[in-house]
Amino acid sequence: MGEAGQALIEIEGLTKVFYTDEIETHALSGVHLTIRKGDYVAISGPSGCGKSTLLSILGLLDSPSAGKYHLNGQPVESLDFGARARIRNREIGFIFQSFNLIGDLTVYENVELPLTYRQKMPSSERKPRVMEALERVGMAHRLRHYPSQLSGGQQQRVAVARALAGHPSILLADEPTGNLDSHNGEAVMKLLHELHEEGATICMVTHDPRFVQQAQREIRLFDGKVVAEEDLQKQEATV
Amino acid sequence: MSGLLQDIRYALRQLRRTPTFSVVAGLTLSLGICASVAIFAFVDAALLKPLPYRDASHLVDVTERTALFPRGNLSYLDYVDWKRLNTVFSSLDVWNGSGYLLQTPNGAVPVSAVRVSDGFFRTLGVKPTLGRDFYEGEDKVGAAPAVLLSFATWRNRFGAREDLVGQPISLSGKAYTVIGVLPKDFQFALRGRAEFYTALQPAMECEKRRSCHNLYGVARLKDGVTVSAAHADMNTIAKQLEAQYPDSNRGQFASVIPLSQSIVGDVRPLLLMLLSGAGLLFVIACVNVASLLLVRSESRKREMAVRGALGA
Repeated sequence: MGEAGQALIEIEGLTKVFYTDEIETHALSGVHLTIRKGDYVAISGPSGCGKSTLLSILGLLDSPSAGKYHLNGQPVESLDFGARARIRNREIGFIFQSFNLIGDLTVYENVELPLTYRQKMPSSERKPRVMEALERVGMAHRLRHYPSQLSGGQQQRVAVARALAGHPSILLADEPTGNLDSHNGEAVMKLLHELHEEGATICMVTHDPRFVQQAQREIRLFDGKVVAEEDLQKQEATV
Repeated sequence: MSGLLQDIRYALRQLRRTPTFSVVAGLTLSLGICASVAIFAFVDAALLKPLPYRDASHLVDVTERTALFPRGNLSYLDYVDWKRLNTVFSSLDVWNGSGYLLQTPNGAVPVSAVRVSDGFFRTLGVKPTLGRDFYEGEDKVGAAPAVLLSFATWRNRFGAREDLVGQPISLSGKAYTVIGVLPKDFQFALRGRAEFYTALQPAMECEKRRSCHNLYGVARLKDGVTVSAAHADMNTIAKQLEAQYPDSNRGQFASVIPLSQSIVGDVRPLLLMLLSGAGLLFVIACVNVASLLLVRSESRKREMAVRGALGA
């Protein structure tokens, strides 16, 4: 999923301000962040600290009020709607807390969905990618099932497959275990860990300290600012 | 193509999942579409489609006009003069409605008919599907009585016998030779469902007097002649006749209008109003369904957001 060590995401002085009834809310204030290819980063912090806002901006679902954002060396902070959608589709794989599978689509169709938005990708090319992704998460036997026929853990695995199918540069996971019991949560985290071992770049928002420990690096946010950045692998090595 | 199929599959699943919505939306649209299509079909047939005759735009309705009657019947003698003197028509013919008693094995049956001058069908551009048209001069007094049958009459009353052509039939006690059968799709709307078309021989007392008006004219404009030019030419002739026959033709002018306008008559504004109403009904149906979809789209906001996140 990329050449390890190269900067994939570079953020400088990122600020996000929300305006409501003449009240300014600084969700993010001057965030600096670099994520290299092959990194496994956990963003943690208390509720309302700006984790999800940061992830939305990283995923090009939202745009910053100020600051610079380079993805794969390209400035992306001020792209138009269509260009952002194209980059989201090709470069970013999303894993949501509530899975967000589409109930009227089968498992196969859900995983295929982001690929159908690539206009020049024929069905014959999509199929092996979908099957590969589903096999990777162990859900290839549930192709024709609908999300409602799956458990929460299975749904999240399908969601991971959907994120993987497009061969993105980075997986963005927003509380991927938030809606799962501990057993399924651990299974999903194990899957993410394996994907990282295979070279995937992952950026995960979580407030569960157990899962933070699985990442290589933890970025702690508080009141919209990065208050701590720890290299967890080094820490483990020194311990 | 595969994307289209996927969209269709998805749409069908959604319809199946929300049957009430699907039925209500379907019924609303069906009502709007059916009403619009029904009225449009009517308007199309009456106003938009050309009459089922050759070069129908060249056909005009020719009548006399007085201060009292904007469109009055022609007298036979005026017709003869108009036909002879005009320079704007390639042909001018007349007809009038009639009725006969058809002699059948079960007795005499009243039937609807039209008396037509010999060139009537040539003017319309209609050829019999069986047999022949009236010969020139077959509408003169003394010519052998001849009759053309409508297709439905030939089929229903005479069993579609091809050997009927050349045979005599009795109409009001007089023998008429069947000379042909008109095409299946032929209709002459001004005379509804006439069954028999006989040659108009001016034997009636009325047709011998210029002051007696009992005919309708139908003419084919020469190429390049407009309706208004024809109207003007016919009025010039009418003035000549007025000067020539002041007793019978005082205050009598001519009226020339498109044949289609004469057939549709006063119904045109009503039809247009109906069409507007049907169009409005269709718009209301669409707005209703759009409102339903809008309400429903609220429940699909999350799905739209997910699709957007995936790059839609």
